[in-house]
Amino acid sequence: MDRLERIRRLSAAPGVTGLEEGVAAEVLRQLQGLGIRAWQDKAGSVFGQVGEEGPLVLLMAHMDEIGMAIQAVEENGMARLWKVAGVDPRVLAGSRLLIHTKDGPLPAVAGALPPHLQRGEEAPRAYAWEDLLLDTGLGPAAKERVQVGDVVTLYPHAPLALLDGRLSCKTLDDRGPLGALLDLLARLCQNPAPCRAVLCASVQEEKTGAGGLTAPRQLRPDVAIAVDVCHSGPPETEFRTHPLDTIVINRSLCLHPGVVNLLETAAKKAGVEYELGAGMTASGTDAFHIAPQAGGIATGLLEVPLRYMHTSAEVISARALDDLEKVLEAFLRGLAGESWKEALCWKD
Amino acid sequence: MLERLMALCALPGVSGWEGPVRAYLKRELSPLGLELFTDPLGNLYAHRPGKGPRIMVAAHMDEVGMVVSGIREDGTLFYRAAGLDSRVLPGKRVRIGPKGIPGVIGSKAIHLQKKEEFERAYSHEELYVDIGAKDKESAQEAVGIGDPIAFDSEPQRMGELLCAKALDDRVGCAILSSILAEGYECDLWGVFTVQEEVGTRGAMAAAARVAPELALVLEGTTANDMPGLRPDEMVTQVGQGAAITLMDGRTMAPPRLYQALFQTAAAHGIPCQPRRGARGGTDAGAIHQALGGCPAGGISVPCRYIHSPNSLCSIKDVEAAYSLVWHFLKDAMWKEVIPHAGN
Amino acid sequence: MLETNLKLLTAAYGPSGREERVRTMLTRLAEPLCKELRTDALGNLIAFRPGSSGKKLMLCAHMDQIGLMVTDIDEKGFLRVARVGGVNPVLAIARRVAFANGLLGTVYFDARKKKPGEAQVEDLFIDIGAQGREEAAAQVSIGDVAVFYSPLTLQGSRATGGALDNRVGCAVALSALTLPCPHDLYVVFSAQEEVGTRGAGPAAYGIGPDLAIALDVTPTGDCPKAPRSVIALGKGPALKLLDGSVVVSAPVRRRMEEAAAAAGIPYQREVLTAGGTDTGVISRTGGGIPAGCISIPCRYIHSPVETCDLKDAEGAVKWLGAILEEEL
Repeated sequence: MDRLERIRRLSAAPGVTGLEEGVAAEVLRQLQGLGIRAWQDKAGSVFGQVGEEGPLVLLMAHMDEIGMAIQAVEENGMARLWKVAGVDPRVLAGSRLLIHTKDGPLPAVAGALPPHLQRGEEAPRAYAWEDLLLDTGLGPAAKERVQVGDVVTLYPHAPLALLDGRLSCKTLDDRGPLGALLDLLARLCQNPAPCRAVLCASVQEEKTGAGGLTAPRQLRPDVAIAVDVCHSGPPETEFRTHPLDTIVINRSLCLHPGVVNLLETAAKKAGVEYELGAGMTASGTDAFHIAPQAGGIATGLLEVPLRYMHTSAEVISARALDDLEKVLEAFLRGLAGESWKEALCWKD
Repeated sequence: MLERLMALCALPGVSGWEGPVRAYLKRELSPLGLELFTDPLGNLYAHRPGKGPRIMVAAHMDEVGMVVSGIREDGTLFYRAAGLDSRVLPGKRVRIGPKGIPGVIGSKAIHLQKKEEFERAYSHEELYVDIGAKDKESAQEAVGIGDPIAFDSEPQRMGELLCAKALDDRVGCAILSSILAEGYECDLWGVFTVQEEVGTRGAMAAAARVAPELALVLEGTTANDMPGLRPDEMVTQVGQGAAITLMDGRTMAPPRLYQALFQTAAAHGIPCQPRRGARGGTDAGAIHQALGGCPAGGISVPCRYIHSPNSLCSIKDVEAAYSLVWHFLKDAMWKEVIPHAGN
Repeated sequence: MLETNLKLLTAAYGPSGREERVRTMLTRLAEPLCKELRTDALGNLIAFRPGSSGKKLMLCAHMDQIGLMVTDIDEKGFLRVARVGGVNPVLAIARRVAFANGLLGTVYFDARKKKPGEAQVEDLFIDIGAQGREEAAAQVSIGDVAVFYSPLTLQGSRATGGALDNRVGCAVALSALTLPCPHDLYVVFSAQEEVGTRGAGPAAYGIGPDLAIALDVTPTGDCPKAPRSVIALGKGPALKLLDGSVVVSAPVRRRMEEAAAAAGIPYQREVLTAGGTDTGVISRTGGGIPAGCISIPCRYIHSPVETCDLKDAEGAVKWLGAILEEEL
């Protein structure tokens, strides 16, 4: 399976935060297809391990996606929506969505009263959840199919190949990087690194960070690297965004400086150009949740720039995903011997 | 203790970058023969083994601050902040990164502002750090993205008060290092925590390591003893003694614990006051919920203008807080709390 | 049993962090029904009944209620307060409150400054009838907490009073202790839920169950001008699917749906737009715990006139009957 196919399957699998069964099954299938020892924990996160000796390295990318749930079904069969996590109601009007009902997926369109019929308002107001109605075309018969609590995802259109190796589809956050990690594990199977690399496709990053909290308490890794997306975007958002093709080593203050150094060294060794990013805490990623668990874990964060985050047209660069793989591979291969321990000591 | 407090306040120690404070404390504590170690987050543990219950006393090393998040073409620095009110920043001096590069917080001069700009508060987005660099290249030689930015402010005595940055929580660090100089009838774990100001992250890790049966958290806390407020609206008052937490935004102090602290104070004539606010949170929030939970209480030194480069506390309050903790431990007052932990 | 217990429990005093009295009452009621009772470091009360399957099932109902903490006593003997949990200052005005020692007081506000609808907690005070600071201080201390004084009344199957959030959940949990269960059954009456679900996590950590079901109230959308919600009183207990703290996982959802079908009880499906319950923190404890929640519909939550339908609570007990018997 090539990476595009990997990502296509991952992106299409349903897995709204907290309800990751669909995508979890897909990740398990891909791991087992590679002959990798794979398992799932009680929180629902999926793991795959390559290597039986050396330091335990947790590589985490979240598999959950943003999404919605049915809040009510009206008499005429139209349904009301509420967010489960991460969805901006302003981008939904006119979108095709998928309702995951007890009898299987059901396509629907999110509609709202057209602006010229919104009464008593001078300028069109942004749509809020209250304005949106989900139309299955089934009329009142939808009441039989659709239940309160059914999960709703963006519609899984096939990935779109754009110019210059850029790719667009839903849920590249964070399944694009997850695909790259699966590729990396495939390579490690052929050519082992001097460590125990454990991939964790984590749950609930978009809402509570449950996977980032629970997985490290079980694994107690020596080092953890979270892999997520960051913003690439319009130029006026100075220093909050990055070029699409250049991966980002996050140097936020709450991350372990030793891990940051090891990642920078790995990038240089792999000949990969990168940018640095920094905030106080790296909040909004699994790295934030991992670090304080199990008595404290040396944690780093690699980010792949992405445009139009949390929409059905996220855009990511194949080159950046290649670079992500290269940096991580160099990082893992650099963990031979005892020098990594020294690198992770606090040098005050 | 005062000398140590002033030395601690002079050091930079932005959340996640507490190295200078940790190094200083290690040096100060090393002659005491304690078991000293650091965890992957950077928490510094000072264990004084003893018979009796495992008691954790925590103070956080970090202070509020900023981080360099970008360098502009003109050599000025873009930053991100946590726990900082943007209104206290303009015109303040800062030090950046391991080399301590000096800089100032820049903002548009009032002469250049429009009337409507003049009336609203500065936001973080319109402020920046100026290190004097003539362009991006020159700035990049001195600082890097991810470098911490700390206030530059020399501690100074002002009568009975001490003026300094980072009193929150170097007061706690100073008190805890003095407490650790002696032994008590308990298994004492002094923990100097990291990353308190960005969500009590160090304490989360430390509590899981120590698994205390009881925890005391030493803090610098808000004092708002200002004109026009009723006494009940004042969280604490400077000069009125050690503040004992009843509750805050993340903890309900167990009544047996805060009552034991008030009793200790009364028995030894130590000035004290209740900490009244229902808001804010300290490491106690993380510690009392870690693993299977434990009773946790707070003892604080009131600080005016907290989270600014110039906060004020009373030296007498620092002494009172030290004395309260010392007597609580010497008198084994935990006995009032631990067998009845649930009450 | 449910009705009698509910009366006793709603009459027991127990704001967050001061649960000793309601815990004493629960101890009295649970003692004959279980093998072992213990109180942990945060004040959670845990009732244990052994089973034979080798699996552990945890039920969790929080026993604490919201209140007002005394922060100062003024020279005239009036008490100033801070909130313990989600007290709406406007709904507290002109209400009677009770302290642990039985002392009653009246909540009022600085009327000169504001209309009642504008009152903030800083504007509230409690009048306990004391004439001066000394007299007040003899009866109440800074740090003491008052709760709504609002005895339970019953009309038909509707129950109204203070603290139905979540003594109705506690009453359901007590009834569950009488049901057959092949698993080790742990019933946790959790502390400090109202101030941020602080007790349940440490309790769950200590137990390490294979499945946890929380029992709590949920707001309804069935009274005039209520926010949109399909939940109504009297239509059965609710299966929580989503709230601010948790998305209930698909396996737990299915298990609960199947149990409801087996028990033959009507139930409602709950998508709550805000707020949280112990469910969330339990699910994220340790390496993760499968956790769900049965909600009892309740109108006017966090007021002295919380209103539930006992039929819904009875439905919850039947539902638990089926859940307890299922294999884990």
